[in-house]
Amino acid sequence: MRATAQDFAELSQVVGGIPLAIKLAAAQLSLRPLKQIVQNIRQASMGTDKLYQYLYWQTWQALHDPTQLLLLSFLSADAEGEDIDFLRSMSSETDEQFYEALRELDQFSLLEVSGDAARPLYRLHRLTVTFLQTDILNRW
Amino acid sequence: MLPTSDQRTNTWLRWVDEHMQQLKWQLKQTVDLLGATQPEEVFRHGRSYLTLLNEAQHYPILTPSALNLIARLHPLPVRWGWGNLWETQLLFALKHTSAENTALRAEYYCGLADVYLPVGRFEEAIRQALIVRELTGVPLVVLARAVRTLFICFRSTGRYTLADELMDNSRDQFLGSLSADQVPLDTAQAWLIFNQSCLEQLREQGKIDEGLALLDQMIQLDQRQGSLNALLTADLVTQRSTLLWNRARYSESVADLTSAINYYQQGGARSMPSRSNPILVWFTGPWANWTWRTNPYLARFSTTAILLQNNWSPMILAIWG
Repeated sequence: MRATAQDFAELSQVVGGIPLAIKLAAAQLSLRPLKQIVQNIRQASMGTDKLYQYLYWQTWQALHDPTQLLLLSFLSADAEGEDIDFLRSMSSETDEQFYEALRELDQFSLLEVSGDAARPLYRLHRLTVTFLQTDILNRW
Repeated sequence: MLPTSDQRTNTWLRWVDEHMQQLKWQLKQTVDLLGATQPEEVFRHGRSYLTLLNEAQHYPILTPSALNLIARLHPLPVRWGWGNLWETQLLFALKHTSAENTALRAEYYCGLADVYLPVGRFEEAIRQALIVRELTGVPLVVLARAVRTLFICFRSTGRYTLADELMDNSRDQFLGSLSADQVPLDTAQAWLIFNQSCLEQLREQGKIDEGLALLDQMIQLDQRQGSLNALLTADLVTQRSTLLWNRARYSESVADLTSAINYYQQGGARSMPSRSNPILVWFTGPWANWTWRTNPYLARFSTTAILLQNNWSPMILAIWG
């Protein structure tokens, strides 16, 4: 998939240059062409809050069921991040499903990685957590 | 586009249920795994366990599973120094544990007292201990902990006469007049806890040799029982270390302190209590300028021990002086 610098400049402009929004929008390139992504965001014509809701909603709908479940499982893990072995032990999916779901979360830029090379820690962005709590679990 | 109202409702209906099922599975999985997990590993994931409990408490249907995990984790978070985080879990557990389950309720009240005591919330700690004393059917060892809490709180708030009266009035209940070899084994732990307070009285009165004799008895009895409570053993050995130091028996004092560190680690404690004031022992004699620096466990608690001087420290220093 190829996109020009101008394409990305347009994407950056339409999401207001917000790094997280750029990342989430760019992750949708595996689903639809860049021009369509940009056009959809423009048509939605929304403020920052709605922009995130829109981007997360688009991403959520694109995820497979095991990936959606894995994403939700992060709500019950340390907000500062957990290692892969612990996340695996807290998932009822098979190994194959778990690692495929993890790969998909990474593909859609939903994982934040911290820690060190010996023990990387995986967590969600605070806005991702808020989206799950409000839009998926209707908590507030 | 953003989801329609129907889409949102359908999403909630499905995923709230899926999430609850997942949490239920995770709660059970955590309880199952805890038994086979090394203490250091349990600590490493401790914040996730607390997050899981917080998340589960959004759904009343998960309360029994959450209570099960709380019972399994308690009192580790207190030993890790996370009392402020564990307090909410203990309050939740007390709210949902049936009144008939007095042993568990008493344990949680004592747990709350253990949360409040180190941070100087003495009146709240006293309240928990008094509740335990009012309950019927409480195991003797838990009652002994409640009395110990009251003893410490009274003395920490200057109510020395009340503390002495408490000891006099409780002596028979915990067979405090018997020597270690006369104590029935099923009463031994309560006897040991009660005598921790007696030791402090002896030390305060300057009766170092009597204190050492009592400690030797206590440690022997504790060892005969197989050191059921590693933190209690650690406290006893630490106390003996201090008294040995007072008698200039430095090498034995350091040996006891080294042993105490192992017991604290066995008990899941992340640091020695500030009241143990170990660095003064370690700095004595030709050993230690290097010893404590090379022991990561000791190095970790040393700062705490020095900085968090609480109400016991002046007393210990006075004895040492």
